[in-house]
Amino acid sequence: MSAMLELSDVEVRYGRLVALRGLSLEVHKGEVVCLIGPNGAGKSTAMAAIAGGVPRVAGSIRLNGQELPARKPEQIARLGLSLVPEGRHVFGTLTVEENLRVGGFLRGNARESAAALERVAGYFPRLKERWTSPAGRLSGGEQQMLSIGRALMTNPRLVMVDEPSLGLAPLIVDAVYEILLELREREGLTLLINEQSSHRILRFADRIYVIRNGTIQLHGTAEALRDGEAIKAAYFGFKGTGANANVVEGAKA
Amino acid sequence: MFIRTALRGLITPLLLILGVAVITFLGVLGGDQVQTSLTEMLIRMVVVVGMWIFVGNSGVISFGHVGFMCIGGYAAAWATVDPNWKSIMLTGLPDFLQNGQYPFPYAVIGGAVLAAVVAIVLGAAIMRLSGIAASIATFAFLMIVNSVYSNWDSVTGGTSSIIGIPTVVGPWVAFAFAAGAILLAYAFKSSRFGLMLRATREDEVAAKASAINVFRVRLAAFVLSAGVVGVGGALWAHFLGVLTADSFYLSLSFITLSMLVVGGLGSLTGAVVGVVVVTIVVEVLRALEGGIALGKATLSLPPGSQEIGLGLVLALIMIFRPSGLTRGREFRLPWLQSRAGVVVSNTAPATGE
Repeated sequence: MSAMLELSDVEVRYGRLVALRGLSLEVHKGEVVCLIGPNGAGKSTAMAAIAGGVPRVAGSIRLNGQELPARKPEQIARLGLSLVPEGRHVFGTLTVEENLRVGGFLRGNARESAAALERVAGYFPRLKERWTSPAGRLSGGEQQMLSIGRALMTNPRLVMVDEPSLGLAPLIVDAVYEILLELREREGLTLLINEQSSHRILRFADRIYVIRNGTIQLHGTAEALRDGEAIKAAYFGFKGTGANANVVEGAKA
Repeated sequence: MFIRTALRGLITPLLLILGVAVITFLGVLGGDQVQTSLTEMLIRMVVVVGMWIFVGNSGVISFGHVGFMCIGGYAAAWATVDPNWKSIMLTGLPDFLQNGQYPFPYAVIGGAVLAAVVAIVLGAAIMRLSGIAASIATFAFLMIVNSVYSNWDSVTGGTSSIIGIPTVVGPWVAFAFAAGAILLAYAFKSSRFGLMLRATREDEVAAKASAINVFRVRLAAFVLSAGVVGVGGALWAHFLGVLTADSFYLSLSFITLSMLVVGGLGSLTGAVVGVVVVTIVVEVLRALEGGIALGKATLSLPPGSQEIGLGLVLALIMIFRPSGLTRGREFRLPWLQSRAGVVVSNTAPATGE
């Protein structure tokens, strides 16, 4: 089975700092894949590289077998790959409705875009209540929902969510994840999610990659990593392996 | 419901135009001097509303728009000035301008088109920059325009002015153009391009993730904006009857930008209100500089009070209302607001808090 999204040996540098050193991972259609790792591990850089936000020095990123253009975020969004950036990037002075409509522009067709707006509003009753308020006045959770809703408006096949739990109360985080899973069921989405904490992820994800120092340290199914020991070892850099997990040595997967 | 929605969409520009119409009507009743100030104000409104199309929606401050006014003004003057005069003073013009003379509407269109064409070329180069880098580049553009127009003797007359431009622009003509500019600016703001551009102003990362080509929407607004400002220049030429490149330089840039800032960059209402308020402040100070009679004594402010006063107003606005008098909001009638949000929250059970 070929992967929907496939990264092989991707290297990204910020000046002399190597942010990703030969990162490889794949996401299959319909999966929820989580990328977890500590601050500065390269999670956000990986997503930015996929979305075309940062240039890559080496490696390839393919969507359905087709190489993605580097540094062309708006073209990549058109290919059905949508990024929900870290830290709830909403258009602050624009209303909730306008925020969503901006996402729908690439559908090109007004009627289709209106239908999508209706559907997204259905998923997020909280947003519907705040329809005409400026997005900047929403609560953190509502902004995160709006950010996801806007990504949904672009008619994506794969949605990347960068740290959806950042700065949110645990109850709200659960609500965000419930919605993400509902979207996978009902919209047939494939999800790639970045997180710092692992226990919630174990409940939601199909497969998990642990990233540290710009490479994948460990990957496996959520099932196999359930006990959490292997994740802990990979996350903090201890030696040791989980029972069925696939611990990666060096750069090669 | 549909009529209500349509009305809600148009209510802001219509109210603004109505307000400006009332001011124009009152001004026309005044004497010559009032009418002159009024016309000047309305032409500046065209310019400032034109600037707002780009600056307000993109959030990129442009110091260069007065350069487009200069380009539009000269282009219009080339078209309407008497060919006999041109054959003596402006020998470097292309044939159709050198020997022809065209009516005012053509001159306005010509001014708009030339300004827009220059904006395409300039914009293609600098719209990739953002923030302060873009602003400085626009300032450099203003300086280039000024140097070229002050020195290209055979085409612009250099430092000697172009004279004999037919003065066909009075208060009502200027009003008509101001109203047109307001409608156009509002239509742009509400259009999909306008919405995309405002999205890039708020958050470039999220805009790109929503497949917006930041460069393209900025460039489109820049060109439209330059065209409208070019019209403002053409009106200016046909109001004064005389053109000098130096009148389109720092002080006019400062005054038009302060109009935008005083009113509030975030809304079209801000641009319109800013023009009116700054004009009133400047006119009052000008009158005080001229001196007013109090019984037998004449009270007058020292020369230069105008600039200082305007600076003071600007400083006060920055301190107390940093987002301008309108705080970035449009002028609306409250009872025409959408009630959808309120209705939903009344009926929906309060869950999930």
